[in-house]
Amino acid sequence: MKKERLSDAIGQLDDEIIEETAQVRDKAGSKRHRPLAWASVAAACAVLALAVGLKVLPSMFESDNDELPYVTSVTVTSDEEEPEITTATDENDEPEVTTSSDEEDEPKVTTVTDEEDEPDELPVLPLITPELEVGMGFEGHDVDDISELYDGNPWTPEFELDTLPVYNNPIVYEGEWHLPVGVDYEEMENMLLRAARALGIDTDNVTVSDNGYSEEQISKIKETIEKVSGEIPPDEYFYPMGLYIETEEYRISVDQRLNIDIDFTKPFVLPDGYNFGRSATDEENTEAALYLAEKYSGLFELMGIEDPLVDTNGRNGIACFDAGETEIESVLNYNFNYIVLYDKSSTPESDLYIIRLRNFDYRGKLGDYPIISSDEALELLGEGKYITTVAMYDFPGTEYVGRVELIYRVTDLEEYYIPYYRFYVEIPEGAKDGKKLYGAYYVPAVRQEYISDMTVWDGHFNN
Amino acid sequence: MQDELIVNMYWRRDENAVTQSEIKYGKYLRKIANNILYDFRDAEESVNETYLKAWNSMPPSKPSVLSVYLGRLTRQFSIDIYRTKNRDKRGGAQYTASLDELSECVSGEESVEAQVELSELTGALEKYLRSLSEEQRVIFVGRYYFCDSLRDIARYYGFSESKIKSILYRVRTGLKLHLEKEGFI
Repeated sequence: MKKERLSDAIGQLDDEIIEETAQVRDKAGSKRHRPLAWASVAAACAVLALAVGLKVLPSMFESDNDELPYVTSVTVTSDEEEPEITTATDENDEPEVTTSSDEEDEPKVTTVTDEEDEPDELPVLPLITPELEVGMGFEGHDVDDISELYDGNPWTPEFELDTLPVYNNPIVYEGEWHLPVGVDYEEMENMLLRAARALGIDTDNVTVSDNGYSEEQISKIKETIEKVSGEIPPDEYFYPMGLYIETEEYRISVDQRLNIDIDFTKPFVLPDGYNFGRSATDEENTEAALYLAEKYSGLFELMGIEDPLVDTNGRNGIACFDAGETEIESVLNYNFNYIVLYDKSSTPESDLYIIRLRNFDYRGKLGDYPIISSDEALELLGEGKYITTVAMYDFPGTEYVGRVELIYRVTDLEEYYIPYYRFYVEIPEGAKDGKKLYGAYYVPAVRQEYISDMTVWDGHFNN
Repeated sequence: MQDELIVNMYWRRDENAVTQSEIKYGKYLRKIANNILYDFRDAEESVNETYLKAWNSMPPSKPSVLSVYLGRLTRQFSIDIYRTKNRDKRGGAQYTASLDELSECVSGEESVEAQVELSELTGALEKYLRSLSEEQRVIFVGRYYFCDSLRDIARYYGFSESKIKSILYRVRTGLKLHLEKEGFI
């Protein structure tokens, strides 16, 4: 018998024997192992492209309230002043899209960003929250040259920023059933209808549906769960995750975070002379993106993108965001408020696959936090004061830093949206097949006195 | 989230099943994969394959302990990748080291007489492991199923590495005798 055979037999051991050891390992090594919040897992979900069963929802989400505030963009008049939030609604019934260019006509909404609502003291922020203590994939990049890691981020080290805002993650998950808190179905429907109108669709003649469960499915699930666990999930457990509208040309959907996906149900073909997608050059993609910005100007207006900057290297698609009138505006728009155009490289009959509107509710702002410079962040990096998913390799030293950029970590896992300096550090040990490996290391841009748990990193994400 | 709820999601073809699996077991699965492969790219591939296989196998499978079900998939994918890429004595790969240790328990040759049904061999192995103390069994499974390092095992039992080595040596010796007695080697 060969040793591999024995190893295979070990792989087939009874569940009970494996579980016994797993429990010992778990107790020892995963002190923070606990039921965790909802998370979008890009890598895992990229493996599966699935459709969820759908049904038409009756009156549950009907609303005749068109006056819900809906934030489309941030106007920052100066670095010292509080940002003014422009919204898409006013006293009129029809929501209007507002932009940052014409303040006199724009309705202003009193939000938490107004000075009287601003907390006097800035809350101290934890970097590592329970939601982050999950299996974190390795954030590394195999490239021929560091230049491949440059994208359309407008920030440069020459930006003169003294403060940057920190925001609450608008959707949190609570309780044993991890039910989302902060979901507003009326706002979701409002956003969905506004996106449809921006496409020229007559929303008086559309049906808003949801992706929830049928009564029969709910009943079966409750029965199964009760049999297994003795508990019955609450009704909220079955609330839909999204709403959608279907027309001949599009399927428009909105999620709980008010992000919009516009799927093309019919192939969309660009005019002759345009090349778009992975086989196109950056210039060709930019040209195509600007053409699409013109064609779908309603969507770009909806998102407050008047002066689009095109990022051809990020977000797995071609992203467009408003240049803004100040450095902070450009940073915030790049990170929070943008449109991504996805090509359909695998099928020749359609040039465009999805238009995705990445939306953000700026109302959850905690405050404007003093920030450090990228040079100061580099020092902290050298001192080990960073977080990273690079666990298999030792930090090689600041001399291996290839690039730094300022970004917000905006995922479902973050409790707060905090600005960071992301350093791409070359890891010589990880070089393979002629390519260099760069790992991502994050140093909070917020001053350390506002961070509650900034210590020397012990690698515990992946150890 | 409880395993039953996640498994139900797979059965309902709710794509959030994969997300919840990643939340609850992503770190655990990556640890298994990294122990075997010692390469983050391959480990990610293995974990992604696990989720795909989980999606395609539930239904009809309905595991009661999801961690074991997914962990087993990851272990096997990782070993397959390891074997395909023919890694040999890659520095730090615990799987390589653990395999070398297991070679003490076997003859190293695959003759016609020695070919046995995997299930029979597994049965014999289980019989032997159940005769051990919990401590010995957990340490064995930790080393040869999870491919944990001696240092990790020492840490989760609060023993020294040398004690772990001794325990493993005695268990391997006993296993060899047991397999000889049962006619497997």
